[in-house]
Amino acid sequence: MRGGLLGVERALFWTLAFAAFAAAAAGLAARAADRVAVTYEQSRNAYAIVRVLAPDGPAGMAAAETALASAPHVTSAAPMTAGRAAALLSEASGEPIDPENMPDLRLIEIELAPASPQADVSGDIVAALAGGGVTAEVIEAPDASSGGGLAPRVRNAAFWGSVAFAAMMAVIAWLAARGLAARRREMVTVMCDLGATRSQTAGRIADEAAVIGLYAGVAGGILAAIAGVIVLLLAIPGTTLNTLPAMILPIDFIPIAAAPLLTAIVAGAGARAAAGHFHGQAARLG
Amino acid sequence: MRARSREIADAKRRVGYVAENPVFIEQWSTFDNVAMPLRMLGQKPRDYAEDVRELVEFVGLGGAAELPVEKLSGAERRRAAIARALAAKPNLILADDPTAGMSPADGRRIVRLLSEMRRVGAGVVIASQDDTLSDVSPMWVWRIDRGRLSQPEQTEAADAEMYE
Repeated sequence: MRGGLLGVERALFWTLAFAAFAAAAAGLAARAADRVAVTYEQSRNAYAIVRVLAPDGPAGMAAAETALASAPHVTSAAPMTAGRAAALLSEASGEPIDPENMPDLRLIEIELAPASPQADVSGDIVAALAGGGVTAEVIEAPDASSGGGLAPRVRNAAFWGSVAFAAMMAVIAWLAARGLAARRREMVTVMCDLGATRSQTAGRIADEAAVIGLYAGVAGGILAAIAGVIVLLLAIPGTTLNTLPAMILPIDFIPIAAAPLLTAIVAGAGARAAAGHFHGQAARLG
Repeated sequence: MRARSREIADAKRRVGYVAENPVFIEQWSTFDNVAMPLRMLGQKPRDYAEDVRELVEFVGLGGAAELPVEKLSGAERRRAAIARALAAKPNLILADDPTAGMSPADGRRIVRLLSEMRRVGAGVVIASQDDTLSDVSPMWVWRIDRGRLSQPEQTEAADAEMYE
């Protein structure tokens, strides 16, 4: 009964599978960009430099290190050596800098634990240093010149970009499903002639398209997942199939899980609209 | 507008229509096409399979039940259309020039088939350009000449059958 239409169904299946794959892959890429941005923002916020103003000399640095050992938010503290400072400056300026020429540094690099946005991290650390008899200031990464605000922009761009791309794929799925309805036009005409209502006719065609869309979405989602795993294995050194489960968050599965559902909905809706239109034409002619 | 569409759909379900050029789902078998009205009524294949098979036999397509409709000849398609029109046991059967393009023998066989539907209580209206078909079976005959409908003529045999 359906053998003669297998070609049409197969073409629709692979078109929908491609659309689902592309949309799911874009979603996974957006998730990856989002996670990189979050990690970047976290590491940017987890670093600061303490400049010791008083007391002078090694005693001041030692007192500051002692105070920082028990200061809130601070997970580690290490005085900045001349070699480390020269390396950082060379990296920033692009010119070699001799550590011997560096002045006496009264800087301590500190790493910070994640804190709530309301917390006054610098103020708490300065207070802890003052409690240890040290006058110092905390220098955090400047916003404008070190990528401040970049992460939210990247996350927004990734999210809305993937949504826009998924919308484009939805248009492709919609049009492909209309093609199926056009191919089923004689069935629409027959059903109309035999007394089917528009919703019965459209529902019959939409159900068929939705089922094909569901399976195509599953295939596209699985292909996107496989592609994602391959990219992770190739792009991140040291990643193995054993370490992957610990790297992947439940939210990362959303594009894959959404692919079958959305493909079925879009394909069904496209076929329903087209079949309803064809039914209307058949009813006018009949 | 929606209510009117629904009423039309309801009316269509009570009328079996045999078009001059019947439309089928060409890749489906004769059996599946004939069963279509019953499927639309929500019946399951196990419930209608026997009835449909009898119907297909009745119109003389027993040997072609499993053939795709696209493989049937013009006369066979017309008979398949009659079987499909009868499947849902309509109150009224409308046949629009059902013998067009057929040999006289096939045409008379089609009209005989349709006439027999009166036995199950269905009204049958046949529109045809072939005058000779009226002697196939007892029936009322109206003629349309230049847009004017004549008075009905009824044969003795028709009277006899109707008033039995």
